[in-house]
Amino acid sequence: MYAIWRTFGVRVECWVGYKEIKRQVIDCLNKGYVSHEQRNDIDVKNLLAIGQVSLEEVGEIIGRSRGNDYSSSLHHFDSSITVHIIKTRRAGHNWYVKWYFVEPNSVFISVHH
Amino acid sequence: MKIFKVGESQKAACNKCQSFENATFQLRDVPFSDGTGVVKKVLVGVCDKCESVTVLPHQSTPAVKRQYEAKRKPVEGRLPAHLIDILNLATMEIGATADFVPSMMKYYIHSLSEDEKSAKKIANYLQSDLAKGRSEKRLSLKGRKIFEDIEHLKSLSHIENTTDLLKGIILKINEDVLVKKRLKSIENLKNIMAAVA
Repeated sequence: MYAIWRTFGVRVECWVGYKEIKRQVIDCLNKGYVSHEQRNDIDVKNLLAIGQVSLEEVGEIIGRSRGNDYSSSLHHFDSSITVHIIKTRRAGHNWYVKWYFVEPNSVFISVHH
Repeated sequence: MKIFKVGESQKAACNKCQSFENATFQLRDVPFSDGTGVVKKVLVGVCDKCESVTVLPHQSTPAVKRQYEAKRKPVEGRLPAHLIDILNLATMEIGATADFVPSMMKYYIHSLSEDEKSAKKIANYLQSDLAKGRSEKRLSLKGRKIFEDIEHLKSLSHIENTTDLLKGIILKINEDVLVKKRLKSIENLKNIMAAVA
């Protein structure tokens, strides 16, 4: 019984956390509080940075993703920063979106398919 | 949207320093990661510690997009219909369909751009009667390297006009695949067809 409660509890917590993360990133996309992490060049794998997808399109991709499309990890350089990853299928493509929050921005690392 | 000005700063992950460092916004010439070009004087965040470019504010995206797409403009030409027929026939000759035409053209453009001797002969094909005729059909070729390859081939072949260059290349394909049926050319095309099929 405890095991069922614990599993259920963890899932609800993840689901609520994910909903809040989605809300935050979509809010950033809507307001244009967006920047892109770079490694001394302009990463062509970040389709949002190079203007091959719009803020609205990325908002839609993230907005339509589900909890089981989502995972997270800690940033290698700073464990207080969580890196969010969404792998989801949209418009015939398997999308990979990776970002973290640095107030007030969402900082995108990858947006590609 | 938060608009950054030159001289403002924010924290950003620096891959070289392996830490979050202060980045100051500056105008820099920044290359694309695939080596296809450089965005000139674009506003980016530069690490205060190591001078690496660490962040691109979204306000710079329109400038990046313009440069990215300029390098990837399709190469287009209006051609006599019989030249398109030659390309379609050449694809049939190697057992492919007309869908293979762009790949075949890109292969020829790239290999000729790396073969100065053959490139110089392209102009000879323009003397042929097949090079003449009303231009009624359009050929459009897209790709990351096509623009550079065409520009390089223009300088090697001394053909300045894109349409003339395309005509010459098509007539070279005609000679290799349909007239002389050169085994090496046909085998190369068959291998590419197998890879892209």
